[in-house]
Amino acid sequence: MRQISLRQPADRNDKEIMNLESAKNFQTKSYPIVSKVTLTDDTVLFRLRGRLDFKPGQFVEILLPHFGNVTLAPCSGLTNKKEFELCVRAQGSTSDALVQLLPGDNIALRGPYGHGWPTLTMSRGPLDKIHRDGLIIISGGMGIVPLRPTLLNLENKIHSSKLSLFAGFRRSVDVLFEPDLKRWKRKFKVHVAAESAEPGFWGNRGLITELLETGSVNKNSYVLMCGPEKMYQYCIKILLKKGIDSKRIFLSLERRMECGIGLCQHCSCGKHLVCQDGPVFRFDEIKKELNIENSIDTNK
Amino acid sequence: MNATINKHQLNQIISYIMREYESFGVQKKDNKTFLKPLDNPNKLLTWTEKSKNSFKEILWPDQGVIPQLMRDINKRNGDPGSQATVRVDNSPKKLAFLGLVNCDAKALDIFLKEFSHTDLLLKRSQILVVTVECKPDNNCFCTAFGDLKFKFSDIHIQEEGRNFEIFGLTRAGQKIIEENGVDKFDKKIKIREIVLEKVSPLDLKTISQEIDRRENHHEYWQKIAKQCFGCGACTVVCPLCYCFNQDFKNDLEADCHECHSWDSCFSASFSQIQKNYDFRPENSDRLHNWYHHKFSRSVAKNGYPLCTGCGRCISSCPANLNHHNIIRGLEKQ
Repeated sequence: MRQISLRQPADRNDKEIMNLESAKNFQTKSYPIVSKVTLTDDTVLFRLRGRLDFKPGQFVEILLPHFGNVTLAPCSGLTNKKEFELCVRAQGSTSDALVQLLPGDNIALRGPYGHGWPTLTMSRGPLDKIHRDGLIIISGGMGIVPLRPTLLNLENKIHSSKLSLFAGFRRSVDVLFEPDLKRWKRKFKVHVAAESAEPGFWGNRGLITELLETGSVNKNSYVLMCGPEKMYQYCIKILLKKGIDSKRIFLSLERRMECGIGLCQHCSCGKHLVCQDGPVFRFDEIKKELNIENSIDTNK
Repeated sequence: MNATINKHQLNQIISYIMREYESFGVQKKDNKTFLKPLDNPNKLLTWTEKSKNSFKEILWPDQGVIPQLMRDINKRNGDPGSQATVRVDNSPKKLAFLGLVNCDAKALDIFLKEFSHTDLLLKRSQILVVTVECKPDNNCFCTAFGDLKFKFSDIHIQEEGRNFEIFGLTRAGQKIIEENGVDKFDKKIKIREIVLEKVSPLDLKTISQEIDRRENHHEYWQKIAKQCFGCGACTVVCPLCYCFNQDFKNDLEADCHECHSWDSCFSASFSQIQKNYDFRPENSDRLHNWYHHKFSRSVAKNGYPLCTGCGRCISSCPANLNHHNIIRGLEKQ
């Protein structure tokens, strides 16, 4: 297996560096890989050493020399300030090379960028709204990655009746973070579904929307969603039918992101730039760009 | 600070600018007008049509190296512990653009504003802008954006008989004029206004709204898209189209550096993510996005369109689309 490595950037005091001081939002930092776990046949989880001050739902731009950039969402909890995790799926020339890196190699990245999941704060305390009204988290495939920090953050802080997770995957072999999912299942409501499943699969066989349809849902709940946009269309239809306010639904949009700082224009979506105004949007503010059919517009 | 000066005095001023700044001037080459490095003050045009190329090629060149990330990553020694060498930034620290027409000076001002939240470009204070009187062509429509004020340059020059009228519009411009032998000033001389017949101001607010309501004008956009080749020529020549890819440029010594290369929102992969899923699969989607960015999103967000009416897009379009008429058509829709 070819080893690809990125060396440490030069010492910041080096007099030859003319402009690095001022390029704060385009600055690259390198982090060494501490461990690598294979999650599925094309997905790995890297743990990197270093402090990354990110909010759940934000993203970083990975730079892999000779190859290109990859947009990833840091997916570790917020308690360990000395390390963070990145989950990478091999689905292009750059990510194919990135998944081959090994502990000891460095990963260079810029960011974090964008708006993450809302903290749902109230004047009395950060979790009051969820304690009162409940939180539903819905993910499709890799969409669980930007939601994992929120789940790790909440698992010990929230009453079991107030948090539910609906995580859908295409195949049972694609299920990510199995140890976390099984642990969460003991703490709050967790529904895992795979469209096609190996025999003995511990989750449900089918679509996550089927579970959402039949599940009981508090209509005052907040909803965080991340996954393919097709999934949003079906899930939003169900959620609105169950009486959930469109101002309480937050989703993470995926677009082609390169610069991360609102310049290259690839991530434009209607009047928004996903890298700056998102990637997390409140549903009523992004409704038009998602082309959700008028038939489910309940004027909320 | 306005003055009438002769050719000798003008050359003295231009020579001073050439010594102090890395200078690019609008000049003739093979009977065409270009903005290129100025090596002789006599070559600068002082009453000209706009240049074929714009400042974009110089300020934000295709395949340009991103200065902040200039690192030579030496693949001969793959040891992660060794130091990377950093290339010294040799890009110019002070630039002068001479001979710009006013719409290009305005475009430069907007371009710098778009990048102002980063350090990827020089700041306006590091650039000297000298405008000259323009010769509009049939495709110009700068007056569609209201009265064109001359407030985007440091110095403005217009011909007057055998002499020149020079205007110091900023402190930097005034200082250069004063320090180069000009001591007689005349408040009475004025900059000549640009007059374009049949180009009245656009109702930008209405146009911005109507472009945003794409569903109300479906046939209109389809008709235009059918004619459009999707070649992206308009995005290449437009001084305010700056979409870019971030690439790694590899070289034969196994080193690489990061650069930005021009992209066009008409390109097939512009809105594609992994597995080629495309958010703008049709040419009509991409064409609408071009107008939407320039005349709707920018107007709503910044208060100005990403267009100064230079008309290069119209001149370069192989499908004979007239973008001025297309947006004006939305006022009446």
